[in-house]
Amino acid sequence: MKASARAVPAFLAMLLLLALAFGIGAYRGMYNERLQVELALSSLQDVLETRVEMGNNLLTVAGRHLDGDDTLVKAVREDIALLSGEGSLPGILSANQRLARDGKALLAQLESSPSVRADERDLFYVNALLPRGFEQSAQWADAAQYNQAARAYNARLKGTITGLAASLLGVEPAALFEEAGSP
Amino acid sequence: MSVKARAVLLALLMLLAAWLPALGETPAVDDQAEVLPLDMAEEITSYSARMAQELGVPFRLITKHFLGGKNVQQYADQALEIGADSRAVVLVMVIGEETYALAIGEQTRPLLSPERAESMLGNTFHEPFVVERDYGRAVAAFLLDLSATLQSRAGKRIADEGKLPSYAGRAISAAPAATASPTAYPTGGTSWLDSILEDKTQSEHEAREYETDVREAQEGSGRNLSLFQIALIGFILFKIFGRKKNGGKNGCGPLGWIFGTWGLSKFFGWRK
Repeated sequence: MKASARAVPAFLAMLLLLALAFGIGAYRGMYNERLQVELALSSLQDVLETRVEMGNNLLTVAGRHLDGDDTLVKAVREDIALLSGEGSLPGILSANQRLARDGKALLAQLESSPSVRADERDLFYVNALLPRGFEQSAQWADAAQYNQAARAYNARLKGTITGLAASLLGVEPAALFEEAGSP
Repeated sequence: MSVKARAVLLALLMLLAAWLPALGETPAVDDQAEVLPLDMAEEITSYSARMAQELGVPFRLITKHFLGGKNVQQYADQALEIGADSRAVVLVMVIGEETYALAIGEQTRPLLSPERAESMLGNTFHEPFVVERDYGRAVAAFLLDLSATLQSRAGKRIADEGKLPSYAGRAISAAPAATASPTAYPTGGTSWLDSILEDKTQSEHEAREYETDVREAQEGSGRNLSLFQIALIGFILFKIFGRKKNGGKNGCGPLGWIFGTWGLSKFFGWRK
């Protein structure tokens, strides 16, 4: 009788220890995964520097042919300011998408400008070098890759028992941003 | 090792040391914008070697299309620092930004003050660089003036100026001036990314790092169990809980436990 009386609390203690071990393991595992997602985001922000450089290069050429108050010049300047600032993740990434759109439009406007067409060097920049640079930097700073990784992490956090336990213990989902074309 | 062998080894090392400088001069021109004719880059390299030998001041030239917003003087100072030669003079030409800057090494400053250098750039370099876009002529004219100033300050003379006077449009002979047409407009070339980014290597490195970080973040912590591990856990669970104390069977057999573990492992995130 005495043995069975001791067995019940021992069994409960074992269950408690098991739950504790499971909780700690789940928390640590998911927390590390969350850190990895944050590391990816920080790397993305480093890569976005290249986008800022390309935007500045475009503004340099535009400055020789267009007025500083030109709508597209102002738009690109604002995109660059947002990209190089310390804004929120959605803000930064939507600025990156806007820079792609505004940059392309500004390049098209420059290409049709008579003063650019008369300048062999700047026409070469507008037709060849800058579009290639923009394309390359967009490939490098493909934010959709980050979104994919963040979604995979969020799915693990919400779709597994380990993830749910970690979530209950305070591990948060990763931030996502709206991609072009998404509602 | 015998004394004879050591002597032979020493002789070989000395021979190698004597031959090394002859193997080739370090290029003084990093023409990332590809605005200079190849033979002119070689000419500048060999003239820079003569300047280093006679005056103790090597000359380096970097051309780029853009700096991505970085200040050209800062870039030139950084290039001088990276070169780790406090005697050197580094000229940076940014074609697309129509800017340029000169960085003067610590040891050369007594011979050439920044103000003097600025005035030389204004007198001989600015117009062919910005107005005429004759980059080759701009560099050649400036290099000759720089060398002349340093020669007069150091009291030494470089006799052989090679083809530089011709590139600078100062050739006295009837020989036609070295062609300047290839310098009149830029080309893309193989180093196009180098020429439009402040530091292409760094940008590429960051892009690779981002790719790796994203891949690792997507894969998670890699705690996925193999089928064998899942089967082993299932079998151990069967051994612990799958039999009654009296030896009788209790529900499923080992395969049932293994499949059950495999099914549950999905919920725990132990497998994909």
